[in-house]
Amino acid sequence: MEYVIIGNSAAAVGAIESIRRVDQKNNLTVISNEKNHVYSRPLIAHYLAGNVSEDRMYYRPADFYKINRVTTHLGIRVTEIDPVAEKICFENGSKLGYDRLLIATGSKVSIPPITGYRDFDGVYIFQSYNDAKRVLWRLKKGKKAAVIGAGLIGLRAAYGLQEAGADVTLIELLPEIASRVLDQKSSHFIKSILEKGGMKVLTGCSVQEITGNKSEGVTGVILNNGEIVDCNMVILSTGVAPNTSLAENIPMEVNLGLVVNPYFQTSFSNIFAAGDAAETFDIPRGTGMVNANWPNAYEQGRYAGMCMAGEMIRYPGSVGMNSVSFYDIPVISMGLFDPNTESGEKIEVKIRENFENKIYQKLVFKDNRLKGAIFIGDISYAGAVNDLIREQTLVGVIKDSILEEKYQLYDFLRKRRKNMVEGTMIKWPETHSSTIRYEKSFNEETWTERELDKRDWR
Amino acid sequence: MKLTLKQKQIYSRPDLCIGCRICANACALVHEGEANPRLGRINIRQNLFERYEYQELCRHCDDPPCLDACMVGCIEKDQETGIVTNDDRCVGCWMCVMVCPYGSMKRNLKEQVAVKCDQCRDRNRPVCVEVCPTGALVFEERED
Repeated sequence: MEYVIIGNSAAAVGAIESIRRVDQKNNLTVISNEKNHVYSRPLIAHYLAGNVSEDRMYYRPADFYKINRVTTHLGIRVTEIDPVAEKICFENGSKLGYDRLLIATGSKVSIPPITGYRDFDGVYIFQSYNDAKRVLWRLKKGKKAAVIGAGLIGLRAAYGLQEAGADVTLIELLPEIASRVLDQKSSHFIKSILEKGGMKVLTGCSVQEITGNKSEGVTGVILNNGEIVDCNMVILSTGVAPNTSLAENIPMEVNLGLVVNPYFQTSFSNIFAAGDAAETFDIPRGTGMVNANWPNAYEQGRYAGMCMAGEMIRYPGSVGMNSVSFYDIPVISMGLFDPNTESGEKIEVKIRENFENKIYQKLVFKDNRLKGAIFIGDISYAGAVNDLIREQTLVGVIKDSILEEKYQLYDFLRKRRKNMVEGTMIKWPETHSSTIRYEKSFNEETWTERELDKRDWR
Repeated sequence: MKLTLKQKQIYSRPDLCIGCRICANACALVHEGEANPRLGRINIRQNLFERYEYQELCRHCDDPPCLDACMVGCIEKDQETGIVTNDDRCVGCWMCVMVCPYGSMKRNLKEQVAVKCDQCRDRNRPVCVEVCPTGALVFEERED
């Protein structure tokens, strides 16, 4: 049996490790369009800032492929999947057969129509190690940079450049920075922190044109209000979308990302998808969602690898979450933190704010369950809150005491932990999800059951 | 997140704990060389009303969420001993703090790195168990 994994990042590593835990024998192939050994993508901002040296960029040791006996095809692009012949086609025309295929292609940067972004040197996207290297190389020529788009990637890139000694201007189309991860108040707070650190943040304006010349490359950007920002370098971080290009020519269901069932199977039962490219069940929202971040990608890869190797373990779902820090102030947001932008009823919001001590905490409840949270400054019990969101525990009794960190919170957690430990001693009757073998699921007798199982969370 | 079946773990007996934080102090002293209970890998939350303490310590889970979350790849689980450890590559992204349901990942604010229990691999018994004056911490194998 041939396992083939397209992609070489968090989800792929998770899949490799869990496949090898179950199945030591069969061949495993990893294909990636990047030539690097598996490295940590979120670390490229730290690399830019100079906090992390080159040898520490790698996510797994150099002999990782050798230990796990993985055949690698690095630096080559997959153009097409042929699900009928069970083959994938490379860009150079050669083909490779597979029995279980995992699509872990991650996301691609979506670039809005800006005049001149292809014409000059010094316009970069910020996604891969090579991009970070190019940006560092460019930084030697001039220390003025403009970052277009203040999402999380943009913020990280801008902060990394700032730490590397550059003069950074951050340009955001929306009135708030990082509106996908922070609510209005916290976004203002982070903006003020960044401005205090010396960054120039322009919100509510878009870039019309990138100007430059052939010899020097980029010289500036022109905003829609006529303002001109001088810079030697432009970083485009205008948002990412799941990379679903492989599913375009085959009848695979694509919604926001590649639609998968709780066992990570796509429309084809031997093609799996995980990571940023896959659309999985989002626990607090209760619908499908692409939760693109490193912890979810690795976890999904781990579950997908188990399912590929035959241990069909049901994936409980993911919670959108993220953690960054600016000037040693940690920022964590998870789940449905801003109910104003999303429809919903009976929503309760608890806020504790103390901006003098750089603390802002927000919890969002719906039907006595935690749906989302933002933690800035004090994150000591963010993990416990994350667990309460993930398990959708009824938390009505401790609603008021979480933010004040009253003893009731720890009382509750202690009782819950006791339940968890004792709960593991109860022998539950074995459900089909733990006993069904992968091979069986290809038989006709289990087909309908599997099909019913496929989208039950919708 | 399921607990391991056959692994020695540090367990607490909350009814014996008096909340003196000697364990956290000793832990910080052994690992960081500084007697500061904030740096200890074990944390005690007190409930003075009902007279018990809530001990936050690492359970060394089978499928550690912190290992999943670590973007540097510096959290590792030893396959033989089952001990989950953090090494010096940590950059302080706090992803592990965000996902640990037991709240056992601590932040070293001075060096901006995450610290976690390693069950004192170099010693015979974890130091917190050794110093506990009331015997509220035990290091044993349990079926749970």
